[in-house]
Amino acid sequence: MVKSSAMRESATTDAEDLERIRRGEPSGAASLFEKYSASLLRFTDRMLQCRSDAEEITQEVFLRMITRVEQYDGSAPVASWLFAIAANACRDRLRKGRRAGNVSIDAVAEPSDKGEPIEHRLMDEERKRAVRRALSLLSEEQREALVLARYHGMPYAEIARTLQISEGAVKTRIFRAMETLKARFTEGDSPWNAATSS
Amino acid sequence: MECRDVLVAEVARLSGEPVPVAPEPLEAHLAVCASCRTETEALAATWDGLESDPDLEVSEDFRRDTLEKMAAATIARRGSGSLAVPRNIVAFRPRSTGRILLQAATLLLAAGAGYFAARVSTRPILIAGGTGISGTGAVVPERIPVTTERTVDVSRSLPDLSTRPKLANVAYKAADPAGRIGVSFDVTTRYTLVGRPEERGLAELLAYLVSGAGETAGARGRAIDLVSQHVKEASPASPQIVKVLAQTLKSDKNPGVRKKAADALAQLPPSPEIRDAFVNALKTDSNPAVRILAVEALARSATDLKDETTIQTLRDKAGDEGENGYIRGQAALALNRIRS
Repeated sequence: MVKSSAMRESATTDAEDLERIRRGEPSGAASLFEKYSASLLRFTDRMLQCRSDAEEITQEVFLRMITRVEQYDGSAPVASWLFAIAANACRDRLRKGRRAGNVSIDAVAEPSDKGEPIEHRLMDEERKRAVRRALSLLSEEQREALVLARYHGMPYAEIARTLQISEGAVKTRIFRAMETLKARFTEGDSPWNAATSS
Repeated sequence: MECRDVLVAEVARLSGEPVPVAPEPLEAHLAVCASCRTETEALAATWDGLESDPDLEVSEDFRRDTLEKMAAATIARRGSGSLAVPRNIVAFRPRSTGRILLQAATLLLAAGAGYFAARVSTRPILIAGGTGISGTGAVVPERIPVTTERTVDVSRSLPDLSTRPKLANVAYKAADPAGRIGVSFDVTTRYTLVGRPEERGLAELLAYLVSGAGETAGARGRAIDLVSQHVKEASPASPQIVKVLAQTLKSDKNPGVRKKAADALAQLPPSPEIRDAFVNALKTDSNPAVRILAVEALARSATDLKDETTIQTLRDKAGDEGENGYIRGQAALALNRIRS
């Protein structure tokens, strides 16, 4: 697998965008939004498993980016900094959700109509639901590390920097997450089997 | 090579990380270990299967709403003046190592000087019986100040902060014409007063604590406990203690503390002052537990004292239909004992 190098490549431009934010120019913030909104939204969506919460938190990340722009010291890529803000915001939201007793695993099952036959759509939805349910079995720490590695192609070193943990801890979390998912997906007639056999 | 190493290597490979083991021993292990072959295949299938969760797309509404808010926040930064570094903030310059060492040495020197000065100049604290003899031959204890206020000129001396004392009530004074500012703080010095409870210094202190100088009801209660303990050991209580206990029974806001005061007074030999305190408590205290202690104390003392005030109070209480039955009963029993 080829690791994503977009973060490094855009570093100079990102720094310029932040500089524009510091100068009070909205174009800097808009540029960073175009570059990172999709990634951050996907990350928060997989962490929170609820589109509306994911949008709210992603918006919060970009607003925090503006209010805290002076705190960015350039020691890590801007993307890592944004993911770090997002990870913290997700943890806060999950904590609040736990206090409120909210569980929204199935809220992700949004119907999609791509002009496909109904049985294919249902199968896709079922597979997606199976993956979401499996991801929800992971601890927050395991899930955030796995999501960054699997869906964002982030190297372990970058994940470590983003989550402010050691590389060893990243490796352990991802390994344990994979073990949990494997055990889940190899269970008897799990929808996972349908997903992988297609 | 352990089976676990093979699985760890497979997860690393799937993640695009360098595989932590050499390929040859890995392949050799897989060639002979069917379980690892199955497991690595399952891990790979799991990794691929996660693809079934499609990526969310940014909706147009979300994009528009967020960009609007971001533009407003960026412009607000401009308006709030947080763009330029305020003039009263100067760039941080790390101190040189030499300067830090010099400051540390100065502090140590000051601490050492302070220690030796204290050793030479400070007399041991005498609580009682130390420093002088009055004309009658009685020992006059030295009064030591427990509150002091000092102003220290830092060009002449430095406070020793090496023990990291807790500074409370810190206040800052604006610069004087010479540009000197003031920083005030309180530090705590712990005293332990040792002596018999009836001795003047300790009696005063206990009275002071019981009378409300203890910051909490707990502190006042503990002071009363100490007094009660002392009373049980048959030492005569000082008039100061009696007075302050009577005052506590009359006016402490905490019923638990009033009850403790009543308990302590009940153990003392009857006196008009104690009787008045109980009479007042029986008539006015809102807490039945305190009134019960008061009626019991008055019932005990009435037999000995037989004074009119006590008898009338008990009579009133025995006939008080609004009063607690136990209290009325105790009052009636005491009156019967007096009659007999």
